[in-house]
Formats: sequence, structure tokens, C-alpha cells
Amino acid sequence: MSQSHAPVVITATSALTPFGCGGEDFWLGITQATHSPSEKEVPALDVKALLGPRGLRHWDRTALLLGCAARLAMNEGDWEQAGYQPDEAGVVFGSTHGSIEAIVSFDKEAVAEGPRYVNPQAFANTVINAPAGRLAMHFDLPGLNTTVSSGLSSVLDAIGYAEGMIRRGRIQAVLCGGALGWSPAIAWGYERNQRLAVNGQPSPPFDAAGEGGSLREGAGVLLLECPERAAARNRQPLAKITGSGACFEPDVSSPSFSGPESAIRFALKQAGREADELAAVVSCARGLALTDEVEFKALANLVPETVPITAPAGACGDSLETVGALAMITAVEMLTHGQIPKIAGGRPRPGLNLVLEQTQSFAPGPVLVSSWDPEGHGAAVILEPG
Amino acid sequence: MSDRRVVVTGLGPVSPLGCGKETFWNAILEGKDGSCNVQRFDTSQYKVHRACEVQGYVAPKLPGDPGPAAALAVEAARLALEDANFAEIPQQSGVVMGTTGGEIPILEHIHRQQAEQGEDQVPRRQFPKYPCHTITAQVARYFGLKGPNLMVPTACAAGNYAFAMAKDWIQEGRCDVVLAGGADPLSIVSFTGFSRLFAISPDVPRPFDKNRKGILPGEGAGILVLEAYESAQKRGAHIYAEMVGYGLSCDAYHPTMPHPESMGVRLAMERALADAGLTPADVDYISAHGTGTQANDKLETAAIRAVMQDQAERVPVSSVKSMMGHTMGAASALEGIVCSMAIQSDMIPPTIHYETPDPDCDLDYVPNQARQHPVGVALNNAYAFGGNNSCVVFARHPR
Repeated sequence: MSQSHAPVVITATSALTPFGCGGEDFWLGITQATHSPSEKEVPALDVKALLGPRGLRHWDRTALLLGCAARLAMNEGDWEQAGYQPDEAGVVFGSTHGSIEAIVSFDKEAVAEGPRYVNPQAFANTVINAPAGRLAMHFDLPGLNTTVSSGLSSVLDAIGYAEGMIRRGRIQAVLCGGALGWSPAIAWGYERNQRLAVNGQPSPPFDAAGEGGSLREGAGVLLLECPERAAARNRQPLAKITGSGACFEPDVSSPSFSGPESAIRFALKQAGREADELAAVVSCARGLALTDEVEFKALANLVPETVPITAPAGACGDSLETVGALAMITAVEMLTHGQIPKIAGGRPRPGLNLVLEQTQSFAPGPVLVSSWDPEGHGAAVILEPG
Repeated sequence: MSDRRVVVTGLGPVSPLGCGKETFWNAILEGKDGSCNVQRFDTSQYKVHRACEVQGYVAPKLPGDPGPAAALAVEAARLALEDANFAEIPQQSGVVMGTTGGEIPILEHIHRQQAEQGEDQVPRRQFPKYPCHTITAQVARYFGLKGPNLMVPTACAAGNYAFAMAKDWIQEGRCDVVLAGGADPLSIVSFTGFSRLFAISPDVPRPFDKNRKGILPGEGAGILVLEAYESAQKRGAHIYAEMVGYGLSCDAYHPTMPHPESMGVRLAMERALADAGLTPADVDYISAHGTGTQANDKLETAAIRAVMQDQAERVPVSSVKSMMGHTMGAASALEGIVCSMAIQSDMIPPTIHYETPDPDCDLDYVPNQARQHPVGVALNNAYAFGGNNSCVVFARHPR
């Protein structure tokens, strides 16, 4: 177990959204969309082409999306050429709902038909870590398999955890990300609680009166590697992770309540950066005032007003915790393209430099990715050019 | 920061054997049987009817009326903090817990209300109580803790995963104190699933016995206060044990069946010993995953033999699931308390209901009677659906 002193690198990414499959469709979507797509599901997903024709019968939709995104990331990262031994590579999945539709259908079948008539094969999908386990089986990744949950901050916390496990030498490479298959149960549960748009009219990120975004499928996977291993095969990193932080705010009514501020401060400190060195911010804001206003306040307190801020959920919809994976991939794409996409449908607000009109150029530098969950979980990651 | 030592300074068990350190440990040493006929829900449509429920426990009143997992977790945290005897709980303390189903009884309740009364009659505030991260949020909110806060839902190995994460947080300097453990209430989904897999014993669990017929589903919560050694030393805290290493792995083989050659389990144990800088000759006790299923107990025995080699027959191995059932995400958390107390008292818990030796399970399982035995180092094994494997190493402090 040897510790690495250089930052962990990201060598490939893959996004599945209603815009399509893969990085190009995603980047085109978030740079050109004026609102979230009307499609709820990821279109034209050729599961058999990506995962093979066998062994998928018992995979639920969330696991399939995660698996397909992982396969695309592995293809982009020349996985087969990397030469990792099985116990050197693993999976870290950020998820709070797991395969919720599998859980719901298993239990509803028991209610309707009686407990002796449920399909025992379906039971395996009722544990929250089931999608990550499917991935490990399919790609033979026994080195590490962890699912972490902190609500809407789950994927950023997963990135922080995976980065730490690589940095401490416990693992060499991790497929890390999130996925959410279309879920009527989630739509029903959160629309009734005004956490998703109920009128078919999603609010844009950072709308002061935001009533929620539109629930959409999504999956995002990033290939994180030990920098020495990536360099050994001449793999040019897309970005490096220089800092991550997490915090919890127990009392939202407290005068000292500061949302994700301490997570951001910790991430900046770990990266050895000051807030005024940030080149941009990618927020997980989703059009829900309950979450966005907290993040807005924290960013307004910490980040100079000159720093451009974007939020991809305005374009790709609200895939709950998976927005964190898509925000990370947005940041990586920004560093690659030297551009920052606008917030689709966004409206100006004093206090932050929200990118609203069109995709802007920016000089690649440290990018903060931040998120906030209404239970009180804040998370932040600092990415820098590879 | 990575050289910081991590010690156990508080224990909070809420279990079918009782709540609180002394009640729990006395029951373990007595070999108490925590099984009962299921009280939580009607089992008349099932072929099995036994489980291990937490008895005589008054759920704490929590704002917002959260689910049963959060109530179990808060009570375990309260007991652990009381035991740790802080003059003032550090506000920057972290919380990390594991679970298998989390607040799945919330969903079960919704589904039955939907079926009986219609969707519109379900109170709208029910669904947001379901996501599992609400459990650690409730714990942190109850005690005003602002440190890192995370759920690790890696099913029945989750408590050990939480210990591992807590150790990393402390060693990296993210916080000095972490409440780490696991919680799971008895759930209909879990009972139904295991019964359909024919993995529930009709009477009692018999880990490692030739006639073992499966698990008994259980419920509970367990919390360890893990603390940086210098912090514990400074405040004069009682130290039960030191957490000296951990190993994680995945079978990458089957969603529910263990690897036929125990590859992942072996890897986790080997990594844990290496992380602790120990060898099999240093190990004095293994708290087994020991579920009482045919496959698990046979393959865990093979893994222990493979890793421990010529030390395998010397080291006592026991399964407290024989007494408290399989408490899912709480299991390895409660077993972490068992390891800490075993080190503290030089007593090894028994495997009860052990009657008939199995040629495939041929180690010293401490049958039916607790045993006095020096315990300097204890391994805590835990495995899970999804193929997750874990092993945590506790050691006497000072060694």
C-alpha cells in the first residue's frame, strides 16, 4: 500500500442523459439547450452493445444505466490497455435511492400477491448497493466496492471518498459516479412534497422562488486513477482532483447556518487554493429554492463576484444525486473545451456571476463543484487542469 | 496526520439482547437467545415466523417523526456518547453509519396505505423520510454535530465500512471524534426476501452447526465512539481498544451467493492484517460473519483456514448472530462492540445452539459457553449482498 503524493487524476468520463449517450451528446446538450429536455429517459440506449447479450436479465434500470456509463468510460479510458490487476480496481457509487423501483415493485408484489409469490431473484436488487455490486460482477472489479449516501450530495462525497482511497494507496483505479433510472415512485413522492416541478414547468437553477426541476434519468461515471499509473501508460489526464470537502449543518434555523461553506473551505484548503483563484464554479443547483438558496448564499459569501458560475441541471433536468456526477463531468468538459456553458433558462441575480446568455470562454484553472442536500449535507470538489 | 491512532472510547448497542453496554455484554456472555415470534407484522402467510426484535426499548421522540432506523440510531448514539463520558461533545464530530435497507419500513407502510386507502390518502410527508441519509442526519441533528456525515449502505457489511471510513477521517484530520456504526429495523421486504430464498431458520440460527438452516432476521443499531488517541488521552477517556486496520473487497461473483473459493473474503482479511501490520500469529479471536446459512459458514471457514494457515485451529471463532440474529446493517457494528468488549474483558462470546459438528466447519467455534481467554487482537468479519466483504482489526490499547 503506497501512498501517492501527486493528485488523483480523471482520465475518462461518460454521461448518459436525455440528450443521448456519451460525452459529445452531453456537451452539445448542455451548451445548446434552452431548457431541460422533454424526454424523461435516456434515448437509444443500446444495452446489449455496451454490456453484452447475457447476464442482464435481473438488472434494473438504474444498474443498466450505471453499467452502460461505466462501459463507455472504460472505452474512453483505454481500460483494457491499462493492465490493472482485478484487485487494483473498484467501484464507488454515490446513491441514496439505489434501485428504488426494484424495491417498490418487490414489496408491492408481496402486497398484491402475497409474500410466497414474489420473485426471489428480484430480492437481490432491494439492497441500496445492488447497482454497484452488479458493476463489480460484470467487469470483474473486486478491489473495492462502496456505495455512499448523502442525498443530493452523494456523488460528490463518492468522488471525495474514491479520491482518498486512491491517494492512500488502497486502490489504484476507481469507476466512480451515479445513476438514476426513471422512477414513478420518486416522481410521486417528491412532486407531492414540492421538491420537483408539479406543473410541468421546471424552474431554472438559482431561481429565488424555484419550485423544482423536472425529474429526468441520468448517469455519469468518471474514471479516477493513481497519477503514476496513468502516466505509465502515457494517458493524459483530463483533470486532476486537488481537493474535496464535506460538512453537515444540523440546524438550518441557526444564525450561524452557512450551508456548504465549510465543505468548500475544506476543499479549497486541501487544494492549497484561495477562493479568488477559482476559474469557475459548477453548482448542483436544480431549480429548487429549498436547496439552491442555501448554495447561493454560501457561494455569494465565499466566491468573488467575478467568478463565472454554471449549473447543468437547468439543461439536463433533475436526476437527483446524479446531478453531482453530471456537474463533475461538466467541469471536466469545461477544462477540456475552455468554455463554460450557460445556465439554461437561468435569470440574473445580483451577488453571483451566473452564466446566462451563452456559452463563455474561460481560462482553464481551478474549478469548484459544489452541492447541497436539504437534510444538511454539503459537499465540494476542486478540479484543476490535468 | 496519517499516523494518528484511532481508539474506541464509547459503546452504544441497541439489540435484541438488550440495550446499553452492560446489558448487552452480560447477555452475550450468558449465551442468551434473543429470538421471538415476529411481533412487528403478520407472518401468517409465511412458512417461517421467528426473528430477533429489539425488546423493551422506548424509541426517542425526534422532531419530524422520522423512521424506525433513525430512532434506533439516535438511541445507540446516545448510549455510546454517554459511555464515552464527554464533558462536552466536540461539535465537529462526524457521523458515519451503514445500513442494508435504511428506512425501508417507511416505503412498506406507504405501499400498504396505497393498497388499502388509495394513493391520495398517504400523508405526503412520508416519502421524504425514506432516503437512508436521513438516519445520520437525525443523529447529527439530535446532538448538534457538524462534522462529516455519511451513510454507507453496503448492506450487511456496512457497519465495518463505516468504521473504516471513520478511521480515515480521523487519520486525515477531518475530525477527532466519529460516531460510527450501523442501524436497520426489522423489515417486511427483508423477511420476505430471505424467506423466498429459503434462508430463514424455522426456529433458531445455528451458525457452523451441521444442521444449520439459515438466519433469523434481526434489528438493532450499534455505535462506536472512535476517537483520535491524543484527544482521548487528553480528556482521560477510558479506551476499550484501538482500531488498528481494515480491509475491504468485493467478490465480483454473484449478487447474493458467496464466491465458491472465498476469494473476496480472503482478500479483505489479508488486507486488514497487512493494514494493521499484524500476522495470523497475532490474532486471538475472530468475530465471524457466521450467519447460519450452509454456504456462508462453510466458505467463511475455508477463508479463515486459508488466511490464518497454521494458526486457524488455535484461534477461537464465534458468531453472536446465534444469539441476536442477523441484524443486517447493524450486525458488524454490534459485532465491533463485541470485539471491543472481548478485548476489554478477555472473554470470548459463545456460538449458541451449536450441537452437531460439520466436517466442512472444523474450527473452534466456542460452542455454547463463553470462554475466558486473553484477547489482544480481534478480527471482525462481515460480508454482504452485492459481494461486499470487510474485515476490521481491533487491538488492546496499549498493546
